[in-house]
Formats: sequence, structure tokens, C-alpha cells
Amino acid sequence: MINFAKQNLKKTKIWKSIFRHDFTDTPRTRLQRVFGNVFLHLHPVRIPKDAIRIVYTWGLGGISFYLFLVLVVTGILLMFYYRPTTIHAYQDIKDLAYAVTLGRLLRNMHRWAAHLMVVTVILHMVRVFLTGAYKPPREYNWVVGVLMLVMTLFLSYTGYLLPWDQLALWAVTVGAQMAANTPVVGNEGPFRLPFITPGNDAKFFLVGGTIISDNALLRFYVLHCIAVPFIFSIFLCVHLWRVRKDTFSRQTGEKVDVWPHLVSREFLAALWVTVVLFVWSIALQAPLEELANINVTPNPSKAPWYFVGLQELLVYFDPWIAGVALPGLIIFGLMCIPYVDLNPKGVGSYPRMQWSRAGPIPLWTPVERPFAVNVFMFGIVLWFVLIFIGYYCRGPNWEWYWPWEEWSHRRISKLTLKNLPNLWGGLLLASYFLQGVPIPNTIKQRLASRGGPQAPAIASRLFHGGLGLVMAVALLVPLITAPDPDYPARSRYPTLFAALGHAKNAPVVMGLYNLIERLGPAWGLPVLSGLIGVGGLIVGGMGMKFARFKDRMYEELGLIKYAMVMGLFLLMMGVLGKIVLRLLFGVKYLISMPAFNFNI
Amino acid sequence: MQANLEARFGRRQFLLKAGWAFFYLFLGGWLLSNIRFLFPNVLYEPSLTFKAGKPEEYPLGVSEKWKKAQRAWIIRTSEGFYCLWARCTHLGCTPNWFEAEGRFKCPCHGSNFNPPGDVLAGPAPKPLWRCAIRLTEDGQLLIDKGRLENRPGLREKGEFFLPMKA
Amino acid sequence: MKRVLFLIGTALLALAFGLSYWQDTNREWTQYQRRFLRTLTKNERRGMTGGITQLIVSDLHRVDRCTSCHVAIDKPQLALAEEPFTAHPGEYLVWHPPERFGCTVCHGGQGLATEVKAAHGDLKHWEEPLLRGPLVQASCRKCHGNLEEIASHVPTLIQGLVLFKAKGCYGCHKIGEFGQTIAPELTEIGSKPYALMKADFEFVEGTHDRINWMRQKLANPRKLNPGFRKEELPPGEEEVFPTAMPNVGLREEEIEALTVYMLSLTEEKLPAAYVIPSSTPQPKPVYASSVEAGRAVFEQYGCLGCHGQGGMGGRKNFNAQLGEEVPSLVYVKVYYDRESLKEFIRTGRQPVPRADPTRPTPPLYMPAWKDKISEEELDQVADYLFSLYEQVASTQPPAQAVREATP
Repeated sequence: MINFAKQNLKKTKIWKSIFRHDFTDTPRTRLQRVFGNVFLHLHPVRIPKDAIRIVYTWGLGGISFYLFLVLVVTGILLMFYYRPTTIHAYQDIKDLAYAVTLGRLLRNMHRWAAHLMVVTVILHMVRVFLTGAYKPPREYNWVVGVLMLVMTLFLSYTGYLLPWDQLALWAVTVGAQMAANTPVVGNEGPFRLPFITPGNDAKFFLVGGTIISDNALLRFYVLHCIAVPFIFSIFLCVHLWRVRKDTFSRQTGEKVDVWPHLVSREFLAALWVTVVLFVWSIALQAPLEELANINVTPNPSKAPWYFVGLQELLVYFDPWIAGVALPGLIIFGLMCIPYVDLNPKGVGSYPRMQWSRAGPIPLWTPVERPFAVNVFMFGIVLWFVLIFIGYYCRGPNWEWYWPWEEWSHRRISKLTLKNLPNLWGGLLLASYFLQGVPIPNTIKQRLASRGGPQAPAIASRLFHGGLGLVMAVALLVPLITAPDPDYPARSRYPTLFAALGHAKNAPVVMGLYNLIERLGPAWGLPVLSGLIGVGGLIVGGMGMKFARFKDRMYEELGLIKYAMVMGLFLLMMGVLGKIVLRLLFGVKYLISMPAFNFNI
Repeated sequence: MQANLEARFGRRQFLLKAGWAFFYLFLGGWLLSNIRFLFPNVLYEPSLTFKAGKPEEYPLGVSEKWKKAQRAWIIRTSEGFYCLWARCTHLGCTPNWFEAEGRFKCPCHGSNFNPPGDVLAGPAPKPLWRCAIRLTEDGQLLIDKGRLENRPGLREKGEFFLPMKA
Repeated sequence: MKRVLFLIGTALLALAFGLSYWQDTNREWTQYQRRFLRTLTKNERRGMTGGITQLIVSDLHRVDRCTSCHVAIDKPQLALAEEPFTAHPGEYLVWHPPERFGCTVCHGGQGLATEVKAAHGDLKHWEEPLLRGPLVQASCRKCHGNLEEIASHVPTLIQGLVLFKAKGCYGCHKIGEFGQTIAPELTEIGSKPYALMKADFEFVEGTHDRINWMRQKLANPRKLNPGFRKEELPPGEEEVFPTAMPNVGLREEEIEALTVYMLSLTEEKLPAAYVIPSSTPQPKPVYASSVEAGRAVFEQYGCLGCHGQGGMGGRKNFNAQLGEEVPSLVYVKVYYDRESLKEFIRTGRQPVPRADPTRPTPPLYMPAWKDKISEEELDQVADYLFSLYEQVASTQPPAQAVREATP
């Protein structure tokens, strides 16, 4: 009987006005299903068979899109019960948890979907990179994607404030403080324009005032619910359109029909993401702390996990660097990738990996695109390591606590940190960046004509080895011989070496100090020279090893692109170097000019 | 040649170019106005500033005149004025000033600070914060607790120190 | 393979949804309400509306949903013996109609919650714990300035007030305009954010809330604030003494009374329409003699907080000369004449000289009473202090006291 009803229903005019095809499974209807449906017709009608292999894309882009839809739907539902004022916001969130049917589940789903979306968007970016799907003709789409990543993080940041609890207020305060530290337009940043005051700087613009209160809440609400989702949707349209127009990155073998093969897999992915979200939201409650109180700062007050890596960087760099310059450079660097990667190979498959060795250490390295893959993955791993440290290894007063250590508010630990004298620090920085200077072919030819065929290689070795030695000298000589400018007012020791040698937080210097103490002062100079020699050779050796690759890259890329790639690469390794210098050597700043509010 | 000039500078081109010029003018102006729109002109925030009287009223040393009402100490040295926020950097209690010992001592967990604000003892992790201080037109000290600085080197100058020979 | 995934996925989805739906419709309050409704007759049930009931008290900025579980709190005729279906004891709901007061302004807890633990404030990040038993008297002071008139209802609170004065706490602590600033001010100690107690919480046993903190602090101050030992300090750091707050040996009930009083000192400012000021002006007490008046002054201003009952001294003062104790006052008549004693009280002495000059200054000191005591009171307290000597006139004044007399 139901079949009879169904048959007749399908013969009515109303039905036929909506559905212009029947539902039999013929090649024609398969085509019509995709072609004739506004939502589905973004897909092509037929697609390469490899495009539906899950282990290629893992469906990450689609999952990100689906999570965005989940967030929009749950977000709209939550909006019915939420008022963005400081008087009502916290109470409304409590009401959702206690007094609204399904309120608790919806709020949890919204929160966890947001975190999951940040994760999938980053993983999607990694996948696209590893499969080379950013190379021409897909460079523009990659840039659009990077901007969407920024918008996803910004959406998460603005949403974080809305519950108006202590976690929200102080996490946003940390972020807003970074806005105040923007160069040029921030009131506390370097190179500030003369007319910038707390009443008109970048933080004022973001927060709608000088303190984080009702104005900030309303602004963030508008940005979070309408302004950024609207712009994001436009970018999403462009991004999906470009995926289609640039064709799928893996074009081998036969084609299959999108309906049912791709659509069914998309449906399954969405289904399982929903299952995971449901289970997660039932089991884990979205956090809500005390009502926001501007007079009480929690200790520690941490940014959300995707920003806590930046917050960790604040230990090593001034706020304008850690909060503005470095993130800006990261985003700029990401956007540059398709335009500086001139290697056309590696599109459509993951790079082949192999086991190799660096001395005694086994390494799992890519066979193709080694520079690109290694540098990118190093950056990603560094980012997540910083997040791990900021999240699990930092306690009250941002002190170091191992993840299993209990936090104590009674712990006093006074770190001994010293600045390198400016000239030595400048020398160290200069010699470090000079390592990136290539030796162009023209100069190599001139050298070869003067000094024989081995001349260029020898010159290169001398260049890098020499710079390595200069770096070792620039670091070790002041550490061991320079006087301590804090003595006697704030230090008990007259030299940097003695001060850091007695400091628990500079293990390398402490080890050196104890070694020289035991051997006797006569051994000081030989040990120092030995260290400089060894250190210089190690650093210089690394430069020497990659000198040929470096020079070749210069020849391929040309000056501007090479400068960008090498500059960004050296900056990234420099960040790591500075972290090492601080944690192991007790060095605070390489160059410190408080008069200009400039410290590196 | 004549046709080319016609195509580039003729009347039609002029009309078009002028039209587009006006359009871009409008668009640019509209965009800039929208950005200006987003900067509020009036704020509903409590005032973090207060007037603290004339400099002549303050002898050398630490003045507790505004400690209760504004949670701030005004300190005058032979070089000038600065203002400390009376909030311990450990957990936020209010320290007390002990003239005879020349230090601020926090009763909660025993942090001690010297007059410039550095930590001498106890669990406080950072020096006391200084508030921005300047002179108004009518010759009074104006303290702004919304602008704070506690880093040595930066807290002794700029808006956080008011030079005035005693 | 896809079909298997499809089946498992949809089954799990249906299951998850079913679970969340069941959780939603079987909230704790629905179970309590259902249980209660079953005890009623059909007629009685007719008047009851189901669902979450709440009292919206806008004047106090509170919304209380306690009646969702405590269904019969204002319906004594339907009440049962077992919780949460009891009626409110006494006539309190007559004097404090729920529509005007709600519940949490007196009892604490979290009014917005509809789950038992959350509603009783028994969860992290809620700083208004439920005031059980006599602790509820702490809330009365929010409105009632006329404690004498309601004394029968707030015995523990009044005992706390009396004890605070009797034990000399005003000698170090300030409440409102009265008291000294040797120790932290207590005017709003009942609302102190937990973030400021984090260091003390490490030594608090049981739940980390304000009630336990208060109780354990009063029972043994040095347990919660033991200062910093040499081993805990980085090299070159000055040691920090334990808190100077003395352990006056309070009994359980005294601790409870003082806890109630401390909890009543909150920052919450109720609207004027709720506040009942003190009605009867306190008559100035008349004393038999100047010595008696002086004893009252000695107690009122908290002098005995440091100098002990009857001026016997004995409170520990780390690194102070003369035995690391606050000096006893019984021999004061021998070493001071009236004018120099009064001047000493006016100007105070700080810092107190150290026993070991390498260690920090002693935490307790004699404050300056110059603008805090009137001349008349100074005379009276001088008379009282001189009278102390009578009790020990027969004995020889100790040699140490000579050193104490030298300024």
C-alpha cells in the first residue's frame, strides 16, 4: 500500500516540479542527481577513482566544512538563549546547562566541534602540503586556505570570550595585549606612530574601549556570529570552486560516478564525525569557570590551546615579536610557499620516505622534496611542541613544572638570566644570518679561474667554517669573560660566567663553570679555545654540508625568492636557537636597547 | 595616431575616467568612514584616573594619602614623582608601608618590596607596578591606573616618572 | 564495508541521541519532583505546576531554582519528613517571603543550578558555598544591623562578634573603620576570591572552600601560613617568618562562632529597602572606676590581642628581643611615669629591635595610637596598666624589663 502511495506521489505535478528526475539507478539519473542539485552540483559528475580513496585526503577538507556547518547550526540554536551583555552572558550559559532542554549537549557540541575544526583544518593543511596540492595551478587556492585558517582561529578566539567567565576574560586579555603590542599601530609596540594613544590604537579598535567589558563582548559577539562567518563563507565558496576548477590533484586511472561513490563516502564521514561529536559532548563537559572578575587574575592565566604556543613564545621574545611579528611571519611564510616552491614534482602523492642516518641517529626522511617536506614538518612539529610546553609544562607564574608535578603557589624560584653585551649579540646574529648568503655561480667561476677547480669548494668551506667560528666566539667569549652589569646592585658575582655558573637554570654554563673550577683557572683559556673550535666546527660544518644545496637553490629561485625562503628558514631555526640559548645558557636577550623598547 | 589619441584622451574616455574616479573616491571614503565608525567616541568605563593634588603638598618619601581611596602610593624622591599600585604581585593582597624599615611588606605571604618596587623577599614574582603620572594644566598630579609598567629601565622614565627637582 | 560502517554509524548515532535525550529528561530535579508528586492525592496534585520552578529576585540579582527539588519548602501542609521535601523550619519564610528574598541570599549555594551538587555549590569554580547549620547565621548581617533585636535567632553570630573583641583581634585586624593594620583587613573577608587563597589551600584539609579555610586558619594559623623555610628558598633569599597570628587555643564552638562572624563580612551590598539599621543606640557604658574603664579600653581596641589577657604578654613575635615574645605589661608602673607611658602609646615603636640582626624584622610591633584613642581613654588605660602592678607588687621586676624600658 505504501508503494502504491509512493508511486502516485511521484506522478503528481508538485513532485515533478521539485524533482526533475526519477530515482532509478541509471547512468543518466546518476548524472542528473549531481548536475541538477544546487548543493551537489559543485561536484563534477565523474571523478578520478583515486579521489575517493580515503587514505589520500582523509576527507579532512570535507570534515572541516561539515564541522563548520555543525557550528553554524548549533551556534544559531544557542543564540536563542544567549544575551551578549556582561550582566546576562554568564547566567545564560548556566541556564543552557541547567534549564534548557538539550542546552547542555548543544553547548558542549559547539565547543568541541570548534576545537575539532581547528585540528582538522591544520591537518588538512598538512595533507595538502604533503601531497603537493598547492603547486601551480593551485597556488591561489592555498593562499585562500591560509586565510581561512586565520579566520578559523579568529572565530575560535572571539567565541571564547562569550561565556564571560574568568577563563574567557583573561584568555582574551592576553590576546588583546598582543594587539596593543603591534608595531606602528599598537600603543605599546615599537616604532609607534606619534598620534597613537590607548584611546585609538589597535587594541582599542579590537576591544572597543580601553578595558575588556560590554563593548568588547558585543564586538566579539558580532564578529563571531555574523561578520567573520559571512566573510568565511565567501572564502569558502571561492575555495571549493577553485578545488573544482583546478581539478583534483590525483588524476590517474579511470573515473567513477560521483553519485553514489563520492557522495556516499562524504555522508559516511559526516555521520561518523557526528557520532564522535555526540559521544564526546555527552562524556565531556565544556568548561565554565567563575564569573569574569577584572580584579582577580587567575594564576596561571592561559590562552586557549591553539594560542598557548604563542603564549609560550612570550617567554623568549618581547610581546610585539612573539605576539605580532612571529605570527605575521608564519602566516606570510605559509602564503609564500606555492610561489617559492618551483619543484613541479610531488603532486598527487605523499612523499616516499626512507630510513637514513645522521651520524648515529636514525632518521625517517623523505626521498622526494626533502627540503620542502622537512622544513614544513619541522615547523608544524615545533608549533605543536610549543603548544605542549605551554599547556602541560607551565604552572603558576609561568614557571616550569613537569607534567606530573603538582602546582604550588608557594614556590619561589628566581631565575638568573643575563643579556649578552649588545656588540657580541649583534655579531652573533649577523654571523648567523650571513650563513644564509649564497655563493653565486658567477663568483664561483671567477674563483675557479683564479685558484683552480677546487677553489669554489674551499672558499665555501672557509666561508661557512669561518662564520661558524665567529658565532661560537660571539657566544662563548662574552659568556665567559664579560662583566656582569648587575653587579653589585642586583648580582653577587662580578662576571656573567660566575653569575650564570651558579644559576640552576643555565645547565650548560653551570657545567662549564664547574669544569673550569675543578681543572683550575690555568685551564680556562685552553678549554675556551677548544669549545670555540668544536662549537664553530659543528655550526660551520652544518653550513658546509648544505652549502651546495643552498647555492643551487639560489640559482634556481633567483635573489628575491631565495632571500624569502632562506630568511624565513633562518628565522624559524633562530626561534629554536633562542629557546635553546635561554633554557640551557641562561641568555635573556642578544641585543637589548630599552630606550627603544627593542629587545631580541 | 589621431584615432589613438582619441581613444585615450577623447571625450568618451574622459567621461569614463572621471566616472570611475568619482566611484573610487566614494568607495575609498566610504571604507575609511566605516573603519572610523568602529572606533567608539564615548566609553562607558569607570575612570581609572584621579587627581592627587599639587606637587608642593608632597614632602620627600612615601605618601599614603591615597592608599585607601585609590589603592596607590605616591612617592617623591629628589628627582621627581612616581606612583605605585598597592597590589602585591604574588596573589593580589594590599601590602603595607613600613617607614622605619623602608619597605613595603605584604601581610598575606610575606613579600617585601623596596621603595622602587623590587622584590626583596617572599614569593612575589615581579616588582610592584607603577602607574602613569603627569601634571595637569592646573598644576595637579594626575595618576592613571590604567597604564602600568614594572620593568626596571622602563619604569623610571616616560609617563611613569614625573621629573621635578625637590 | 561501507554498509557495515553505515549501519554501525547510524546505530551509534541513534544510541548517542537516545542517551542524551534520556539524560535530558531524567535530570535530577525531575526525579525528585516525580517522587514527591506520587505522595500527593489527586486534589493536592492539581495545584502543583511541574517543571523547573524559579524565584526571580531582580533586586538582589539572583535567580533561585531551589524549589524545583525542595518542592514543599513553603507548603508545610504537603511537606514530608525526609529531605528534600521538608518544610522550612520556623517562621522565617513569613518574615522573609521567598518572592522577595529567594533562597541563596541567606543559604548560599548556586541558585541557577538544577542538580544537587551544583546547586549546593559543591563544585569547582563556585565560590559561594552552601551555609549549613549555624553557618547560615552569617547571612543575617547582610541586612540586619539590629542584631540585638534578633539575638535569639543568631546566637552563634553574636558569640562570634563578642569573641572577636574579647580575644583582641582588633589589635591587628581592621573591620570597617575600626582596628589596626598590622594584619590584613577583614572588612570583606567573607567574599575573598579563592584565587587569593591558593597558597593557603595547599595546607587546607578537605574541600578547598572558604569555610574550611576559615575554620582551619582560626584553629591553627601557622599550619596554613608557615612562612618559607631556608630549604624552600633560592640562595641569597631572605627567610619569611610564619604568620604572626597567634594560636589562642580556641575551642570547637568558638571556632565555629568566629567562622560565622567572618563569613558574615561580605562585599555584597543589598538595596536600601532590605537593610534594617541598628535601632537602639548603644548606651555608653558607665564604669565603676577609671581602672575598669581602662580595662574596657584595653579590650575594646584589641591590646590584649598582642599583650594577652591582663597584659600578661606571651604572644610569639619572631626574632624580637626579650625572648621572641610580645612584652608583658605588668611591670609598666616601675619603668614609666604617666606622661612617658601615654607618649609611648601615642607614637608606638616600629620596628621592634631584633634579636638576631641578620634575620628579618619581627612581624608584630607596637602601632601608633595617636589619632585612634582619645586623651580620656589614654588616661583610663594608663590607670589600668598601672593597676596591673598591684598583683605582682611583691615580686622583683625582672632585669629584662629594664632593657625594655630604654627607648
